[in-house]
Amino acid sequence: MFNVDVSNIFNVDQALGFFSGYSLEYFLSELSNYLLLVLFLIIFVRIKLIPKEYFIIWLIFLITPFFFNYLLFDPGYMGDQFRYMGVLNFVHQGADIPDKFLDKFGFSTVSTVYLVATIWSYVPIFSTMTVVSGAFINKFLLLIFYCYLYKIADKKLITFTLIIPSFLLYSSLSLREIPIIIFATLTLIFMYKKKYMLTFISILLLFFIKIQNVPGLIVIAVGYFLNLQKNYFRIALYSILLLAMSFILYDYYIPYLDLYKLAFHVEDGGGELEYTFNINDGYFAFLSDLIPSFIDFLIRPLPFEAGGLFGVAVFLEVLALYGFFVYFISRLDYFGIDKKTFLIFSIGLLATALLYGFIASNYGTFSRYRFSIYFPFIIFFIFLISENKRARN
Amino acid sequence: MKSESSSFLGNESIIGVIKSLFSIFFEKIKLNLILVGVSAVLAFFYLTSLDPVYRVETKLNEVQESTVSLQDSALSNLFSVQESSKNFDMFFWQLNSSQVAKKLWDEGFNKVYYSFAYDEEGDIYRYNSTFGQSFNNFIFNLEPKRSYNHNDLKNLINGKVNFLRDKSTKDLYILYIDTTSPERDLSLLKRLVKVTDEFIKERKLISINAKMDFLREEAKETMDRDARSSLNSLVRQNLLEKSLLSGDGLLYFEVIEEPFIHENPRVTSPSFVFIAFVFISWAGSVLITYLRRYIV
Repeated sequence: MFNVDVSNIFNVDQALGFFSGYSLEYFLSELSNYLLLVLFLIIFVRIKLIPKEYFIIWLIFLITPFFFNYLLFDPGYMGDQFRYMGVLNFVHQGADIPDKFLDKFGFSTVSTVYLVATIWSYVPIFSTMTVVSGAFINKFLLLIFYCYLYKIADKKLITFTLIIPSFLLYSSLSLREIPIIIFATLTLIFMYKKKYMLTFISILLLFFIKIQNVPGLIVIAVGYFLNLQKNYFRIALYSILLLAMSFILYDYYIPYLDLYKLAFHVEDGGGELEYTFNINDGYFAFLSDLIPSFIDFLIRPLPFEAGGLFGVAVFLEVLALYGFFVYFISRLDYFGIDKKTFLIFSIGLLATALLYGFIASNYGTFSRYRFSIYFPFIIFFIFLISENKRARN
Repeated sequence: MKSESSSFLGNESIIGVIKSLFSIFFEKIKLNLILVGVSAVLAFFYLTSLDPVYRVETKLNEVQESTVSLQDSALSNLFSVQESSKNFDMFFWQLNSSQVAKKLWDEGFNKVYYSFAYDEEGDIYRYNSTFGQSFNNFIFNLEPKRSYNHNDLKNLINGKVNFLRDKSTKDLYILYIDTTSPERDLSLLKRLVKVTDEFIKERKLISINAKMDFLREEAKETMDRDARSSLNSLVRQNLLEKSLLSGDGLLYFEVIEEPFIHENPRVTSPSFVFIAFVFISWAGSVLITYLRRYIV
């Protein structure tokens, strides 16, 4: 409805004249956004898309964007937000958008920022005049997404996911993590339901928003659609085949992985001279680089490495998450989940985590990417539990 | 079996939901109208209290191509962007650099922007952390900031100075500051453009001198007559470039319009303020009504 005038401005990395944090205009803009979401929440509760008993939790969940940017940290700490919000304002005004298409690996692809901004631009929101507005757009997307989840999964368990600290954080920022999570989760659910076209559409959207999340999902799709979950032998064969392919196709995929790894390294402030990985050292050197970085990716930053309360919170959260995974795996029979199906999906999860483990190099990015990988699987596992509970009843 | 009328999309169900929503949204209509009226009056008073925002700007026109690029890196293919003016990229990067801010700080802009924080006893520009920043320092285990320095001026410049590019010519740039203190920022913009250019010239000069020294040495050592003459002509070319650097004008740009203050100030959109005030009061009352009726 209200947006920042961006006509003629071509450099979207700038603050573009957004209202500054904690100015009265900021509150006018964001309080209006919040209350608009509350009105949608009331409507959804009245038409029973969201259970009435979770109204207060949602009310609190929707207000969290006020507590991260400007209060806990400066928006520049996650400076991408300005870019997303800048492009969103371009889209809203129908202005000529710079960097709409990018050359990636010899192909011209739509820019991820532009695609996310385009998706956001369809969300009815009061104002996009601060850098926090995108967070309310993300909240709206989640509101819609959870309406769907409430239909297919256990309501109480699904509502529990709203209080996961990282989820509160990333849903309160104007970043693409929420669209990534939504499309990755939908891909997993549609895959499980064997809805091929919907799987294809969601995986395609994910491809344009976050290509790194796609290979793992393709591994699952191939295995699951070929019914490899019928017996353990097939799964073992599939795993060996994947391993063999990673060896045979090394020369084809490693330049791309290397490019991403170097990009992350440079983005995190590392110089090209400090970058030690060399693709010419061969597959086994790649493995010896991959394994330690994968372990780092799983648990780091440790509390004494990150420093401050924030680091401790991140570490505790990841421990709790692994606790949940262990509990879930140990109770697969209890939940009535087919172990072979679970294995197929776990291979995909492992593949994605390995990929990120190899390319990511910064502790801050570890926690951010870990979250966008794990969270779709948490929701998916809850969905599996609900499906089996429903089937038993 | 459920009857059609009681199903989710049945007529009665839909009518029931609409009625209940209507009663929540428009319950106590008189009170709501009063609230909306009061908000509109508040919005009016707020608008009258706002300081007008003036635009201070200068127009620059790009005059020559340069080989300097900010995009030169091993990752340029990965992050390739549309071709934009590399000269301006460099100019804007330099404008936002701490070198420029340091020079302006030493020239006296510290007094202009941070006089409020000057502590005569300690001869520093004392910085008082807000509660949020102290909390932030505690959370992230950071050292608290004690005084303002040229980096604050750099951040201030970074936040203040924006630019526009003329779509049709692609060579015309408008550097501008939106401000409630136009006179103060006019002097900043004037010096900022000049100092930025001085730094670019200085860097260019170092590069040319190094190039000339190298070419002279090569020319001395080369026995081949043609090669020596080519090297000497290159030295002359660099000498010409060097002499151009001593000119008063900007290196890559000509100033089409010196920094000036726009006559007509800008204010926050009145419609935004009015509608936001009214909407917040109405939606707030809806939320309270809903909470009282269904939750509390």
